[in-house]
Amino acid sequence: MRAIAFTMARKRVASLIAVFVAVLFGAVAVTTCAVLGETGIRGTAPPGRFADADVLVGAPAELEQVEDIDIPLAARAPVDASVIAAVAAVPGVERVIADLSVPAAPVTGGQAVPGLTGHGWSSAMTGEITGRAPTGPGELALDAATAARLGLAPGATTDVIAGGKRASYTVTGVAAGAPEGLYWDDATAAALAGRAADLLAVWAAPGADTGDLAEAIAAAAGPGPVVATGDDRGEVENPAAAGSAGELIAMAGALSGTILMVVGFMVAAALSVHVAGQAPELALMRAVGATPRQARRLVAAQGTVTALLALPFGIAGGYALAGVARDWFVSLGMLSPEIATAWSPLPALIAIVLFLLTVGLSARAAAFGVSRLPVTSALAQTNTEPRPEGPVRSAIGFGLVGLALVMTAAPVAMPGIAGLAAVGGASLMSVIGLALAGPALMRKGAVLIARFLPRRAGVTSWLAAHNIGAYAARTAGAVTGLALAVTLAVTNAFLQTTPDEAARAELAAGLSAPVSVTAPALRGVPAYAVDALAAEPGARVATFGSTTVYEPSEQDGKQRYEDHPATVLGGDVALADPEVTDGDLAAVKDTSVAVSASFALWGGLSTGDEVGLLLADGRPVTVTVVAVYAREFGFGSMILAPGLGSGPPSTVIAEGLDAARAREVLSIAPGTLVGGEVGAAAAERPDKWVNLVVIGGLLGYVLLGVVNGLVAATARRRPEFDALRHSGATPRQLMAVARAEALFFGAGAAAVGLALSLPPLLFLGVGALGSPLPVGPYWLIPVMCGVVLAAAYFATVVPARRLLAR
Amino acid sequence: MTAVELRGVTRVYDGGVTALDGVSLRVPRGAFLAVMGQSGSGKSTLLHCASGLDVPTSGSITIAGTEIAGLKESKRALVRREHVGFVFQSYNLVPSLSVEQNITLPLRLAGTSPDRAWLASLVARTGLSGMLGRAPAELSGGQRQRVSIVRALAARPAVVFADEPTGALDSRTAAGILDLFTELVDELGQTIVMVTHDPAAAARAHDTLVMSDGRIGEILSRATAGELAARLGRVWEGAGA
Repeated sequence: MRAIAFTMARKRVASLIAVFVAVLFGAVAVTTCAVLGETGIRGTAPPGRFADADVLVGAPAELEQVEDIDIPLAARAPVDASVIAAVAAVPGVERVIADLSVPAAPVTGGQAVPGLTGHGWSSAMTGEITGRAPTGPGELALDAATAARLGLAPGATTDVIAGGKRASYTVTGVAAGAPEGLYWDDATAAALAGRAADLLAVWAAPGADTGDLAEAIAAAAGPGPVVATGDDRGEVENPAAAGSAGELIAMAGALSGTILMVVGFMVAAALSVHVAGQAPELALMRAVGATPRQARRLVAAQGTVTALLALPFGIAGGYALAGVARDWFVSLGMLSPEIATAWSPLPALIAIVLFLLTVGLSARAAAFGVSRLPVTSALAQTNTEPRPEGPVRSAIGFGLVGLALVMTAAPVAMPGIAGLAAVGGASLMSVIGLALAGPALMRKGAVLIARFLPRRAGVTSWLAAHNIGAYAARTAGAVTGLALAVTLAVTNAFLQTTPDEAARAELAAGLSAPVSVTAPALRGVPAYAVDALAAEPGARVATFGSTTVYEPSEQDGKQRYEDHPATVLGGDVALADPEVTDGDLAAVKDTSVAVSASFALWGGLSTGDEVGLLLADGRPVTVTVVAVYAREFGFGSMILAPGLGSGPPSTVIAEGLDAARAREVLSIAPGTLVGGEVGAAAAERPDKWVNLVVIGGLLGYVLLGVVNGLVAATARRRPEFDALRHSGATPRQLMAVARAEALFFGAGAAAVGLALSLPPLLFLGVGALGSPLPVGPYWLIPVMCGVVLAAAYFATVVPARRLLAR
Repeated sequence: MTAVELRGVTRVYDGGVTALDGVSLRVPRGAFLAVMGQSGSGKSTLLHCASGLDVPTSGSITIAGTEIAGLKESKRALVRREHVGFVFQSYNLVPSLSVEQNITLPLRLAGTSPDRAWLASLVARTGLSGMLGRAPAELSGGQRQRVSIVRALAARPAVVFADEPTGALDSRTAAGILDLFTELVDELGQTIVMVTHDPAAAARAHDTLVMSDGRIGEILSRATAGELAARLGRVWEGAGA
């Protein structure tokens, strides 16, 4: 049996190469995605500054979910002073450092130096110092590298913007062995941070067992703080790194759906072309006594062997690409550089199992029709093309497409972001439906073309239209693939750009004021700068910042959290206009909040209702809804008062003074920018590029598969060309038929792809922007149509020419 | 009048097999010529070369007075379209087209408008009336062959080449097709060259040419099926000796 399979396969090398290529690049994509996912799950940053400490204690960095991936928290809660004291009192503790990290920007030459962090002096963990340690509020020490960079030596003075104010400090010492940073004395650091500690670093007394000590500390610290030893310390010391790993998991998870769908589709398409090519042999095998099962096994064996040949290369490529991708994510700022790629055989195993299953199932499914025919009709069938597609398959396909189109209307029915998810799901569903309904759709389309073809269009176009209909099964996979490429590219691009544009437009409209101030170099506009603006006579000032809130829920008795983007609005909130539809924005203070229309809809909330939430740092809070607003792309799901946010505002808007005056006032705060685009920083998302690259790669993969399929399909047309030749067709006419066919189904694929992507985009435009015109890269539409036409054209015409040259 | 003439036609395939070895043959208009011979005798190659489907290695071939031996495929296709009709054992109908579309296909490809009366008379003569809208797959073997015969005659070709036209049919259906051929020759003066290995089929032709080792072995006129079977038997014996 294996020998027969091998011999049959040897005669069909071209279509097996298509299978090989589909598996090869598919395995690259799946392995890469799996390695990145595993990196997100297992990859922890090693402890940095506190690598020596035996135990680290800090607030949790994640919300635990039962039987699901934990959700990283956007901010970290402080460690209470009472916990510090309790931990220090634990027997076996030799030393405790209460570490604080405060963004600090020294001012040199009138410019704020970005990217530095200040700590308490005990966090320097060194006695080696030129000069002396800081001991009072106006004093500062630096590590040697930072001192050199800033040109500061003991005795010099410098201004530093930290903790919402600008103050002058005298440099008392330069510590060669300290980690990078600015060091105040511990009390000054705590005062600037406004909290006791971000984390505790604990050293055990000589002879104390670390494990026992950690247990004792956990008991002393009470519920809440995380007590970490060994590799787990990294997560406590650097929760941002752990958070970025969580983002990586989420991204790999989101992309894996698209990748698996496309790869599965392409592998199945390549196999169905391969099986269709050997239908005559299969029929003969059946005639000489092979059972249907044996016939299917023959085909499956060829596919499996091909997959086994392709997988090692694909998996190796996937591991290599994962390393490159990880570095790229780091350079985009999406992943903390501390997180190293996790290498394990697991992704390879996943790829092997996934592909062997896909190939085995697809091959058997593709051979199912031929293998089950009665022997006599199996022989007869193979002279003509495969029989009309099953009505059930077509019905399911058309049903899915129809359902998907209904779902795309969601953004109109459901306001805002809630509708977006439905659109994404709908476009996936329509693609699956299209794959099923493809042959039937082509047959019907060809009938239409043939009927409405103008008389003068000529015999070759007429023949082409008839051929497309009659040989629908042969090319449907390729055409559906091309349509898939168009839908995938267009929907994905606009699904991203339209909400981005909506957010930008809503923020521009909702925060319009004569003056807007941002301070990216200072990681937010410091409080003293806001105060200075507000102190101007006649000035009205509002602050705007972004945060995250987590909405707890129970699913089958398991705790779940959903994260929502939220806005922190302070100052004179009347300056902001989130388009309040109910209640009063001015009432947003303390624990009174405004919620978006979607959030209100899903939660069944109206003004006066209370809802339990977790804030960005995981603090639980019960808030009261006092207003409902419409501009949720710009303002997120919720508007909170500053007390519930974290960090300084990203944008400050002001009225009652002009930009020139504002610049004058803010000369005291270098690093602030007057007139920067409102919320620009919020709208710019690095994962946009990741999506672009992934979709681009998948498109290339789809096109490659389609071209392979078309080439294999055309190579099988010799008998058909002969029949036409004997009817008097010249080679030129045969080429013209091939060309017309290519153009018909290239254009058909583009039209179907656009038809499937346009309704969701129109509805999306209406839902997000209030106009049916979605915003995005319009050039992508003609480009994709051109690419699809060119692919169809060359993949048909070139092999047809080779066929005729023989 | 000459329909087809071959002079010193040799066809050597890649690999050195000589399928035709200096064959000269003149087929006058109105002739019904059968070509017989064992497998590998060169009868199919003769048909392919004489019809312009294949190119001879050397020699001259004229169809309706046009020399085609040196022509490119695109030029030969034009000559074939105008002067040659084909009937094959496997019918070679275009499965995506209806019976009527298949019949008119050669005319559409040539860009000429069909002679409706001529086609109607052919359809009536072959008993295909009422089946014009069907797909080839819905017809019996004999019906399909009749469609391909009408298609071959649609452009009023100088010669029809038939390659084992009855090879896939039962004897009664085959007899019907041969009756049709005889009728076309006798009543319409159609020239037909038919390759067959069936003595009963060859006996219906005016003359029978027996191929052997790429050459014309002998030409028999108005031979009966029994005589042909006997002759062929002798040729086979000779080949075996």
